[in-house]
Amino acid sequence: MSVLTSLYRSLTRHRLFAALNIGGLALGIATFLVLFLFVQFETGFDRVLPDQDKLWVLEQRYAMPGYPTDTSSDTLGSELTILKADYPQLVGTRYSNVAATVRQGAQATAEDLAAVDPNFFDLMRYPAIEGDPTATLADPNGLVVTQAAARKYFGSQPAIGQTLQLSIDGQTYPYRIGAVLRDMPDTMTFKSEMFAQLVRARFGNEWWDHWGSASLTTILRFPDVPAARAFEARLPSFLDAHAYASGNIKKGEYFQSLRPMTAMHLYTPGDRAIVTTLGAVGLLTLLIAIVNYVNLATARAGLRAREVAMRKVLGGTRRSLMRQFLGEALATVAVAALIGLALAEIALPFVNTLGGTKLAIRYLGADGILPPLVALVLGIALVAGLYPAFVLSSFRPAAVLASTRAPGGGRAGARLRGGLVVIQFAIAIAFAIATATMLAQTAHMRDADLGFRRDGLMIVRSLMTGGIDAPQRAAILRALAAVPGVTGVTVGNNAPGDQSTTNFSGYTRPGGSSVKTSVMDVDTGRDYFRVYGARLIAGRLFDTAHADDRALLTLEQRKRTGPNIVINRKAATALGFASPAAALGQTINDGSRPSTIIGVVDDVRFRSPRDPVDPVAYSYNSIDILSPYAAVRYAGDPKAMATAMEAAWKRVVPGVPFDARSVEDNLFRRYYKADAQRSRLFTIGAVLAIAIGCIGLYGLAAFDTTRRVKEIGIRKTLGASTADVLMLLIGQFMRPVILANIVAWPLAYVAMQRWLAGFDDRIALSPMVFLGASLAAVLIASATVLGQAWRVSRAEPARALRYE
Amino acid sequence: MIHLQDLSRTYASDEIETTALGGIDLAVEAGEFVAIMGPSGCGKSTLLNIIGTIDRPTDGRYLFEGADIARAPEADLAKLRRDRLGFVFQSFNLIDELTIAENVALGLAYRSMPAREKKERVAAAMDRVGIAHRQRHHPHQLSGGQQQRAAIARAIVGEPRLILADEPTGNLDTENGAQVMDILGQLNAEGATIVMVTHSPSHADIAKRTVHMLDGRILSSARRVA
Repeated sequence: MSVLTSLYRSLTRHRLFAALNIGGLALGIATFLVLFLFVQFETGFDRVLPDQDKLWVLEQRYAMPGYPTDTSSDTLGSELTILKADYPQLVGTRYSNVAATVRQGAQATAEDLAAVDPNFFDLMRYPAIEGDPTATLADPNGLVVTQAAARKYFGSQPAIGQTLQLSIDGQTYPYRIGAVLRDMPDTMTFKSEMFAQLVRARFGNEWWDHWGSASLTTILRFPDVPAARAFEARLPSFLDAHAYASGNIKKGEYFQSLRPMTAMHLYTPGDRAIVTTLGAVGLLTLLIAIVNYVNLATARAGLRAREVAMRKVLGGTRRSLMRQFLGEALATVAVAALIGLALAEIALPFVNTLGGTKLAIRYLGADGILPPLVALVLGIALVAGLYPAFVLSSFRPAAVLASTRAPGGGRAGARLRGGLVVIQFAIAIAFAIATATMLAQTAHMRDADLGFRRDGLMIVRSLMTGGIDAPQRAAILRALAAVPGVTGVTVGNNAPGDQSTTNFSGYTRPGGSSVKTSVMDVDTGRDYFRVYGARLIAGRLFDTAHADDRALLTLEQRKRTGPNIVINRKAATALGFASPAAALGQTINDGSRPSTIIGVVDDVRFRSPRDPVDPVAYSYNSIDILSPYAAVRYAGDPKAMATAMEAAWKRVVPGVPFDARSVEDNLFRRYYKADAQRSRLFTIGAVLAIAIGCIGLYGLAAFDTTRRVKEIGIRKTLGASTADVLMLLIGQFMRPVILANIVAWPLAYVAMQRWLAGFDDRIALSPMVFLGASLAAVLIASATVLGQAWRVSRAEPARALRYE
Repeated sequence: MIHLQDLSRTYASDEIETTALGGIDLAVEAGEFVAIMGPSGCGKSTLLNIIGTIDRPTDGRYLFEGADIARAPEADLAKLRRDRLGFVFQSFNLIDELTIAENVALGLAYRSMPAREKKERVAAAMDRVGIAHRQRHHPHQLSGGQQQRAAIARAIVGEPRLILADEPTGNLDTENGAQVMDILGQLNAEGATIVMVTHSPSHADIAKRTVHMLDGRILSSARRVA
């Protein structure tokens, strides 16, 4: 009899076990596959580029006493030039993402443009379909575009040789297309639709040579890791010679280092942790499913003991039996894998929607799923089939045939099954705690008081587009204010989700310590706090009636004028004031001029909930702010408002694309969405893991109660009531579940403490979550076992005693 | 002690109805030792199961110490079995996972009683049937005779008024069978009422009365002449 026939008969004879076994495994494999695709996507960035492991990104790190370390992959614009002067052999290139506008007659289209050095594509060896990217970029007016961009502007016409008018910072240049690239995948860090030569006169700004500024990305190429590390070791002396002498930054507070380009995507430890965690969820879910398989297979082994004994009596060797059972395991796992694959295909669109991913199964090719899936099937079959095969083939025929009851793998088998249930439920309970914590944190972030009113607020980002001059900006603000429904308009060099320039100054208090307190300068326009709805906690806000409230923006003007400032609560604390009120009327000095504190506002969170709110000194710029964002407070339908605002915008600057976003789109999509989506992915994985654990427990309960029907009959004959029997059966299954809590709690506690530590704005880890998860586990496990236990406990004892 | 009046038991499957017992009238007085005999399938075990309340009659009355328990709630029957009945089976029905002492203790498991008293009674019961020295062993480590003696210890540990034995010697050799019958005889002599199903005429002779059955009915009931 072939393995398949034997398997088919075994499966159809015990349909419940077959469904539980194959269904659980299929669900585990599907969960694993989806999360495997996620991890493959997240860790596969830039692998499409040949020699990607030779490319390193120069990064800078501020580590000032009393502040969290701030790392950036952007450094000053001219650093590569300075480096090359000291190290002529160094190979490097630069990349800067800038906003540009493509003009076609009256039509203006906003485009992301990458300004790069001409040798960019020598290092980033991304294939061109037509033309030579490096030769194209040697021309300051040469343009490299992707296929999608070529199609967008020229349809089916050849793009090579065509000219596009690009506005950059208000100036329009004619760019001639010299090369077309294949469309870049989502898994590329330094991607764009268009690439032009990084010409300082066009793309540089006043900070180009300013040490400590973060203008653009410098990418270096080294033949191998030791060469990169050797160069990295020279960076401190390089900084000694060039950077610290500038006076902008201090030795001991500013560092530079190299990061492999392939490590750019998962930049923060938090990002890496969540990908690792989701990968672990996938693996653990698969582990739970395998544990189920082993548990049910060994449990069921007893039901086939007579078959095994008879096969042995008829001359079957242990080897042939092992082969048979391993073959059956392989066939079962293969069936489960096929179903799992189908489940994963069905689930992917749903998972993509919830998780904000674009995962897709590719069967063949470099990252095709089939080869690893085949390896997975073989691996699971071996792991899951070996023990049952070993147990089954070791039965002694005489003992089995003489015995009146089915062997269940003996005490060792029962102990193994108990141990595996503990592992399963420990994972499931830890997942439940993690899920509850993640969802609570996500909800907390969503509903947290950010210090401003987020509803009815639109951020006009296109106000900072180059090419809009000061009178136009003023006209735009007036036009926006005149839109019916608009109740307030303001500007600032920051907005929820955005910050055009980040500048920290070191402030001291007269007569106080000489240690400088790092405070971020934010330039605000009229009505800034009122429009945002920030809370004043001491003093007053800026007032146009006070002439000395006004500050002017440029460094030169600032050096002469000491304006009044409003600080946030964090700054009041950082500067050492006993209370917000104590700061009022006090002066602080940034080294060039004193500023007087006239008011203190509550902290406003415009950026990631992961980062602490910085101490801020707000100054009032009544004339014009460079690179500002407008914030518009309105009442009414957001869509209609956006349309009306765009019309107002077009009346003033018809050639500049309008870009306005709600707080939801600008802040939450950028800083909150990823965490929410990953929490959802985690929840899906965790729920499935718990479900698979329950399937396993149900299967075991079904097996165990069936095996114990006769024992229950004896107990009932001796006077046990239905309740006694229920207590006995459920109590027995509760022991491993309760033990699992003891394992799960510390694991979940440590993991969640670490995860929450990644958020500045976070919830406290509640013991209720732990108790709730454990209670849920006990209830779910009881409910799972109850059905089986109830059936057996109600049976007539006489009938149960006849059961074999 | 027991009065069965016009008692019947039928088993119904999808297509066929089988009568296991029909019109049984039987009385067993306290202190009696009744043997039930008859060919296989005549309803002996079904009758014993109904007397032991682990099966229910389809029709008729079952008076136990005056109370009709034919349709009593399951919880009341469990209580009755716990407090007044003891069972001995042909296949012993010991639980393999438990030691002999634990198996015997199972006879008191569902009674509320101080742990010390339980322990003393378990020890006494094991002593009584001569298996105290095997108390830490598991059933599969014992001979059939020892296992049946353990089962008797479990049956008597609760000091039941009625002991029901379903072919207690059926799986035993002659010597062990004789030992088991000795014990049952002693128990009866000490006042226990015993109803025993058996195929063995010699073992039936030890009883004070023999009931013969055929096709679900009682053919005769004869008292042994002392």
